[in-house]
Amino acid sequence: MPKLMTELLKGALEGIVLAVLSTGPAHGYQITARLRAEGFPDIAEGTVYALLVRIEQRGLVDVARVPSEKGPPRKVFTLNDQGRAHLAEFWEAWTSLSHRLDQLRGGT
Amino acid sequence: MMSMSVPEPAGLFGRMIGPKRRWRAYKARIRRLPERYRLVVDALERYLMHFGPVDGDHAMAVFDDVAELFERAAAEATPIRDLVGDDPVEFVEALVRNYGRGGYVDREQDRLVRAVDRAQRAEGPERPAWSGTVPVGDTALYVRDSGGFGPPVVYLNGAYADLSHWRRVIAHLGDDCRHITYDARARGRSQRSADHSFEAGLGDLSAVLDARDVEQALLVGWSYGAILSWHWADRHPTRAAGLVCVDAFPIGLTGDEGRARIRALFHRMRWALPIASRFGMAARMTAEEHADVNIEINRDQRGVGPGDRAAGLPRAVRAGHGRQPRHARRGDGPRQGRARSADRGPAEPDRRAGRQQPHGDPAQGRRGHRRLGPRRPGPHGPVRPAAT
Repeated sequence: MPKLMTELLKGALEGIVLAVLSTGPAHGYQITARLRAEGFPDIAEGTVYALLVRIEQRGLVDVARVPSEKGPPRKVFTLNDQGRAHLAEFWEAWTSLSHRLDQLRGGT
Repeated sequence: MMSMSVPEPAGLFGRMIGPKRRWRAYKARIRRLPERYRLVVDALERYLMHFGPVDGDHAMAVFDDVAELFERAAAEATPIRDLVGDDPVEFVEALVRNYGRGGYVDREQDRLVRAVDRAQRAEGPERPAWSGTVPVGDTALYVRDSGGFGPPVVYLNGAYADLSHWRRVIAHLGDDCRHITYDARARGRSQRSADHSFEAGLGDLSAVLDARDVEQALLVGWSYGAILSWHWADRHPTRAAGLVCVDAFPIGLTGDEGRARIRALFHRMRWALPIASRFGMAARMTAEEHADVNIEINRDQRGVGPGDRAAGLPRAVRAGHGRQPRHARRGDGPRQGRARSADRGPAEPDRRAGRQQPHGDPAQGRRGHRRLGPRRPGPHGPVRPAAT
């Protein structure tokens, strides 16, 4: 079961991370912590990090480097207009997908 | 993009020693990690060596990402499972996906995509090859259409050149495209006309495409043809799929003195023009008419470049002379994104066509250029002093 969950999450994780960022700027660890608190306990920080690299490459977030008391500076991610547009698209796709899945389950 | 801890030296020198220095910097970062993290990084490194990016830049980007992630984790003392999850392969693959694998993997993926594109086109109607004349006003233009399944590409000749100059380019691109070439008025096998104006040239391009039932085409223009292409695209933005401009740039030789120079030049060459026209290097016009064509293009093109003209097009690629103004060398600004997104299909030929002919005669190709370049007069030979 957890394996199936991971598989299903894979495609949605980007949208989920954008949704977390829509509530305010955050750095990688904060995003992972938020996700764990929201009921995704198995999410690896590294996977979130990989995703953040991608959404940064695609210009969906603005990035600032903020010094931290320990270790290297932290990257703080802020959702920008392009990111918000992308998130809106994600929710639209998600709604349509879940609607179709509900129909499928009801129909059998 | 990730910021790098070591600035890369630029140029050839940088390309040779840059990656090595970057690699050493990465290794030094890893050595400073606590042992349990280092253990995992070493295993990731080994995995990436086998299954990660195959070219240096892509690979270094991923390694730098790994180093950054683990430095952060070490600072926070993040438990290793929290970091890489239950399935470390899943994690490393997510990382690799960000960059693609580069090198031959990208090439092979590209090839696969193109093969499927080609197969899909083959499901459409095949256009038969055709050659013949298309009547326009007081003249008739000689046109060749390779037919086939590919997207249409139309080639616009240099001022006094004929369609034969595209032979090697077309052979190089092969049947990925539908190639349409034609001779302009009084050039090559087209008939003479009383009107040699630039305006007439623009109309001729429309007439040829209409006659061949082509709604949208990629325009490949050389010199005069390149200038024609961007003006035509300006008037018919939906019909131009993109531009490839070779060896054309907007510096005009104008004024009385300039005009006199052009007239004198063609006058001196008047005896050679009929001979040159037999070889596709001059038009079947008088020396005066040759001069008129050149004077018009120089007058109208001063300060006008494809940079402003092609802004609305899905794709614009410029190739050519080293003396081009800076803005004309690359697709700039907002167009880049779209150019990339539409990068499959006709983009491939235009990229290759552009690279293939960095100078002068598009028919000569790389080797040909070196062999023939300096000795053979350009087909627009007399145009050279006027820099078009």
